[in-house]
Amino acid sequence: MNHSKDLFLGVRPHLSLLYGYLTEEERKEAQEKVGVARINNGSFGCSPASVTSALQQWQLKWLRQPDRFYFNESHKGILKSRNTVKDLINAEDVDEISTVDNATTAVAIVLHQMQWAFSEGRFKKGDAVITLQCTYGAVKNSIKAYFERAGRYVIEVPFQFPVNSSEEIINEFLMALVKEKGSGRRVRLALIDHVTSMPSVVPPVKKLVEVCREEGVDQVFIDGAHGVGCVDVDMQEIGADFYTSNLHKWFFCPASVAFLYCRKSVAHSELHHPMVSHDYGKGLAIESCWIGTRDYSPSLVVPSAVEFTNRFEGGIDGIKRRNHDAVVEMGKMLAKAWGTNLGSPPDMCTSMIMVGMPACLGVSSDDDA
Amino acid sequence: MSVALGVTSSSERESKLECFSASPENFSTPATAAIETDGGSFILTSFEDLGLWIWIMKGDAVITLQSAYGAVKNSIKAYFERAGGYVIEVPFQFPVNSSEEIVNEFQMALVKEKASDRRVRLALIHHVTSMPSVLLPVKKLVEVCREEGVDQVFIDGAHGVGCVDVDMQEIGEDFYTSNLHKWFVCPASEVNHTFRTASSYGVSHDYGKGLAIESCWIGTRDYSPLVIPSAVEFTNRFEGGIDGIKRRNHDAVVEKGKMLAKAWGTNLGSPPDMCASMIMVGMPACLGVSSDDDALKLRIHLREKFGVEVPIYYRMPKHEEVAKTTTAYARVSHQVYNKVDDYYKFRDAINQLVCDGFTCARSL
Repeated sequence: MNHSKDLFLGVRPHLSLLYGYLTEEERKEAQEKVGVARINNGSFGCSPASVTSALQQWQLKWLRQPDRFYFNESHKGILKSRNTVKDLINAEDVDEISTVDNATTAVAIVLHQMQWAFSEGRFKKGDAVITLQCTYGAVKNSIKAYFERAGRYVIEVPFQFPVNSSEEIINEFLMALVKEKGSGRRVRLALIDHVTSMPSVVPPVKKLVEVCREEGVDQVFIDGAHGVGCVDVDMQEIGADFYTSNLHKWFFCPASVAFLYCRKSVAHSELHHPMVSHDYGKGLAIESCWIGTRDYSPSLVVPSAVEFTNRFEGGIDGIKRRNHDAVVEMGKMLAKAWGTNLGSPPDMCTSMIMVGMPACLGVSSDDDA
Repeated sequence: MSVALGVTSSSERESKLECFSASPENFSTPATAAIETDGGSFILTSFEDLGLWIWIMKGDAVITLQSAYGAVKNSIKAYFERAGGYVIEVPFQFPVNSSEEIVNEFQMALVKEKASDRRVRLALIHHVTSMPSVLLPVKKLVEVCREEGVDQVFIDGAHGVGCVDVDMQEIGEDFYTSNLHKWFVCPASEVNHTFRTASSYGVSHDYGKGLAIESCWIGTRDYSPLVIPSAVEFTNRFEGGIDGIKRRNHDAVVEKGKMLAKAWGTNLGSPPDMCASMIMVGMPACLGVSSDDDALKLRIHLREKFGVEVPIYYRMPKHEEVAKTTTAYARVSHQVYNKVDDYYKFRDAINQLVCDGFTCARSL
């Protein structure tokens, strides 16, 4: 197998990541061809040729004989991917894993069941969801669409950036919960990013989950959009009720494939995919395997992505560690060159880091940015 | 990225306007992988969203035909019934003899509910039903809905574009959905909707900007089925474009359907003018299809043993019908890639099974 030919579509990762799989000439050639120094893997990820080739093979199988594929291959292939995810994240049971398009869909599923709980009287008007101020914008929209719209209450915990320590975040969060408890409000859901987006920081999720349990929050949902392949994701360690992660951001799958983990103890009968199809009522994991005619091939290449990461020293853990070390080194280099600062301590970064830009550039709005 | 997608979507809208005679402001082209059940869930989500608080009072109804697609019926159950809504399922006789049968049953059902003061919030009607497949008189049904005071009409044209004439001004409904991967040569999956107001289930950055814009981005996914202009270009290579293709598909499938029915001594499931590019052909009663399970197993048998891919519909016989009544109908399609040999292969496969004394009970 000629590993040097295993190109990422349109971009080459840094040489040090691939430990000899690329020559310097190949790397330069790839960079020149593309003409862009893409240091934004965080938005849309990347996918190597071996995985996109697997994707195309699945796609062709599907397009050529869709009936046969639907009856004989699709569900089996998705089950294999679900089992792969279960092992990756140390979940107890494959029934806890559903494949979804993206974290946006996972959020819709969890908030949807909350909406029904309100409308069916299990939750009361004024019951709350708690989230950090830096929660992803699209997730805030979801909360608005599903939660706020009918008079439910949203607690947004202030978030200071630049961040100095994990304790800052924990203290603010705890204060907010204690205050609501004091006023008799019931907090039905905590929705916390595992790695925030903009600005990007790793909140101390394990500790935040503990705080939620101590303060009587009903359910905890960790939005690990950047999770798998970026940070350590261990369901037994983190202890949340729900966890979602995209696999197309940091796990080398093509867009788009993600999963929603629902702990066994959660009432699964209340969880449904919003796209209702033939398997409605058979459990979220089964419902999610078929939500109508579409191309399911991104869900089917997860084993191929595992095979790719295992070619690297230390597998995905080795990649994560080297990405982290490299991005901290580069971040410090940039901050030094510009006379600026980093946005958080290195231990609150993963494969992404926030680097201050010179004030003289005069960025004074989102629009300027 | 969202700007680029917006531009692309505009050009798609332009290229589709000719096909659909829709007004641009009503037209939404979600740049998403589309799903025939998308139509059902999109609308019903918005109903459920608004309905719990404003639109649906307990006991308000949705009306649909008994032949509505199974996944859509599940959507109605998941959203409408769960919120306390009432479902009116209009009986549907198959084989079908005329459009008037369907219109009459539908009207009778509406008149009855009106008399009992029930408010019908939504009519959900297929343009072309799935199994069994029949082309419904949707324009007339929409008129009946308007006369009888139904709030909103949603036509589920899953088999719409490229199969039947789809003209928003002609049909006059409030909502219409169609897949483009079934009969408009797009890869799975691509859909278009026309909406007045609704919101997507996948809430992302463009929430609140209207469904057309919201649908352009519902989180990271593969938006590459943005190939509608390419599909239009392809269909325009054929004589008469998509209209020519539709017409020839219809004529061919009626001809093949009649050929099969004659060869097997059976009947068609509806008059030819109630077919589009698909036709229901009765299968010999001696095959003994007596359940949905038999129908599925026979389908698999035809695929595995004879290399014929065709869905089979099980029609439960009524009490008064004789033992030898037709209980299985094959839904035969025609598209530009089909050849007459495909249909001979099917004809001969069934003849072989009959000759061998095959029955579902004994042989599967």
